[in-house]
Amino acid sequence: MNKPMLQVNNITKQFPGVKALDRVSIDLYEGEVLCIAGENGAGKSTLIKILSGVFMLDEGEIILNDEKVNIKNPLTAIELGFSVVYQEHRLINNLTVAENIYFGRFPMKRGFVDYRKLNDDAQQILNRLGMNIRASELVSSLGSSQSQMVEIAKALSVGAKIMILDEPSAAITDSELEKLFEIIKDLKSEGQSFIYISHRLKELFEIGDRVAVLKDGKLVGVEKVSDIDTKKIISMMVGRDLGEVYRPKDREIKEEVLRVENLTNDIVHDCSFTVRAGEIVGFSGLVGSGRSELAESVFGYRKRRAGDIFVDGRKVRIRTPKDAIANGMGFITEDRKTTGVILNKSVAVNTTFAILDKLSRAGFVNTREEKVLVDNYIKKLKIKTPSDKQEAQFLSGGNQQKVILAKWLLTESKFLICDEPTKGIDVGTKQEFYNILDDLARQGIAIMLISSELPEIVGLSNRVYVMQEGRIVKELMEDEISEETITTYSMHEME
Amino acid sequence: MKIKNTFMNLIGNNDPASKFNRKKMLTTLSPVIGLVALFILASSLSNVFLTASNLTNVLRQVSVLGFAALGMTIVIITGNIDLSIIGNVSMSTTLVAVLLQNGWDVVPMILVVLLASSTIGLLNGLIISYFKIESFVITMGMQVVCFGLSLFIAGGRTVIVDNLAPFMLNLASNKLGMIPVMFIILLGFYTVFYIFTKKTKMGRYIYALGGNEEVSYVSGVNVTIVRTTAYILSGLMAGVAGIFTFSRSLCGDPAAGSALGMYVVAAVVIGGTKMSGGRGSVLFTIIGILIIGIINNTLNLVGFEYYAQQIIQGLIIIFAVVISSKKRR
Repeated sequence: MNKPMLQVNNITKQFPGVKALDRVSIDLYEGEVLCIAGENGAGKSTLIKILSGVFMLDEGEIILNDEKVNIKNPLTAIELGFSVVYQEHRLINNLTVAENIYFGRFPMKRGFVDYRKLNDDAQQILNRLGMNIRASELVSSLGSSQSQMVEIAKALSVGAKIMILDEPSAAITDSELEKLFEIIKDLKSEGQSFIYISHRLKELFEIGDRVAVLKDGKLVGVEKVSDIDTKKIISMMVGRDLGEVYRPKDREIKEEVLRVENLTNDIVHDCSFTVRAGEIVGFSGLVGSGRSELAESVFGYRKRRAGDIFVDGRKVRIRTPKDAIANGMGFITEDRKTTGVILNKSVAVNTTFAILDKLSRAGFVNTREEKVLVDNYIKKLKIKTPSDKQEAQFLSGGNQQKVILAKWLLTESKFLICDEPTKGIDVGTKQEFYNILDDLARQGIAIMLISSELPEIVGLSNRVYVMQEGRIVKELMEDEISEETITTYSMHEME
Repeated sequence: MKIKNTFMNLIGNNDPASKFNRKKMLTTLSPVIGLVALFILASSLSNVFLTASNLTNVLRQVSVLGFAALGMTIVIITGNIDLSIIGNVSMSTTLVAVLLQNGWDVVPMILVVLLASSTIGLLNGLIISYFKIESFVITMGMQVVCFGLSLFIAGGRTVIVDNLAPFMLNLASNKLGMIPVMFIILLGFYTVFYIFTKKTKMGRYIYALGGNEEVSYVSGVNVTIVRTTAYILSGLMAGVAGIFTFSRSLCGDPAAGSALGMYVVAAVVIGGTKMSGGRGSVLFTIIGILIIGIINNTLNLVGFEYYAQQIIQGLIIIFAVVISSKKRR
């Protein structure tokens, strides 16, 4: 091929505590579909956001048609010809298809919108895409693949030279996907370039010309699709040093504490699993595979449509978190700030919040006893705070997380759900957390560990359940657990 | 240092190591500073202000507002609002008048009035919790319902009571020294509510609900009960305010509550309690009502026209809210 139309050279993007992109270089040719693959947090979405002007890059350069460009904001990105079709729809439901396509760029006539021209122009684009949609239809009456096509029509209408498709297959059916592929191939033959992102590796082989693999913000390699297979891609996506995360797994595993049978809610379907005392059970899967939603339903935080929960072999009724706590469960949620700590309340108030019933006499809180308990946990978990009266908002993320952990240890949880327990926590505190989790398991607590960081799952778990689109697709025993097996099962490669 | 610590204890943060304390203390203290400044200003603007009879009068005037604002403070701490209070005060006042007119004794009358006003709070709490609707909308509707009930109870006119029991006749005029008894009762209520909010389990849940409802729920708290408790207390205090409204006018005016208007919310906010919930203290609402009382009194003494008084009061409320929200960073 000749010269690339787009060159991304050594771009770096730093967020507090993490390098989301580290000297990544990618180029794109005219009429090419470049696929980007990588796990959760590999840097795919950061890359898209830089190209579409949502984030500014810290270092590196972007060269478009031999000219260095500076993508300052979403508007310049559009003017330069970058257009993103996001996985979730960004159309305005109560406007028509034509209005959405030309939103903000309506043709005008004597101060009024020229609706005839608007509809004619939009219809022309829709016809060109071979779509059976009327431009005057309301978007709310469209199906999800049709809305996706409207997004593509919109991207075409602004004269996008590079169209970025972010997980287009997530919201549409297989037959709809085929139609989308046809359109992509048509446009490709007209010289349109695409960046295509998907977790379904199969698709990459169907539609892609080349595939770039990202891992932990770094580019692992770019390969011609015809030269590789899924195995190769997966092996490029995994392979980290486990040394610091690994904990010996010779824990004494005892009787079953939790059994869930056929749990179904609005996101997950028919999930069954068990967790035993002394065991850390990992739950792995892509973002959106339903891990957190499963945990929420076990804890009574999300409505269950079907399924039974057994604690210590007895069937229990769990409809609210209160019921779950009464049955010995604790839940370290994914989002500390919205469901974990009360930011403007003290460490003490947050720590004892779930055991006030035990701590009160005649409705009055026994603050003396409370202080003893809280100080004890501040020492035990090494919570860095000037005192138990400090407001939680002034603590670091790791210490807030410890406060939440202390809360659930005080309720004497025998089953603890940890949803991304080390998210946004510094490296040193992460190590402390791994020790604590290992320790708790060894004390006989049953732990359900949800994490998007594969090394955590591999390094800590006795067993792993892999989830995919709301279903548990595989249970991996200790000797089967590896980044490779987990990735293989979570990436839609097993039929 | 010792005094400072005592003070920090009072406002619920006694951590001398926190570097945010100095700033926080200043923030919390600003209503007090405002009150003192206003007091000095009022004394210099009018030589009647500092007379015993005028000050007694101010305390009497702010008492009814004080009862209503106490309930409002609890609800605002939970992160909600209760606009039904002023309607509830009207309803309670007319109920007092009608029951007394029908020959009821004072004690059963008080019990029935408080039961009725608390029921309004109960309904507010349950409707908001079960249908998960903005408290603003529901309680505004309830306010209209209450005003309607007031008219119904009163038969569409102001109820005049013959042969008033001496207790009711003297409730508003009794004094202990130069302090009206009703203001002392008000302080009693504030003390009890302060201890309730700061020392009890339910008090913690009330603050926590305003701080973060989701955390409360995940931690096993029945948030419906907590919110409804706050609204019942608010309704109860509206009933108390209604009884004292009657004791001051000695008639049952179905529009009596509207005089309180937005002062109820203003008193709470001027006292430093945040509309966003989770922060503040009932004690500071006393400062809020005193500030409003002194402003109104001074404007009267200096002899502003009614329209000018309204404009100035409104601007002061806006000013206070702007100041308090700016400090939230």
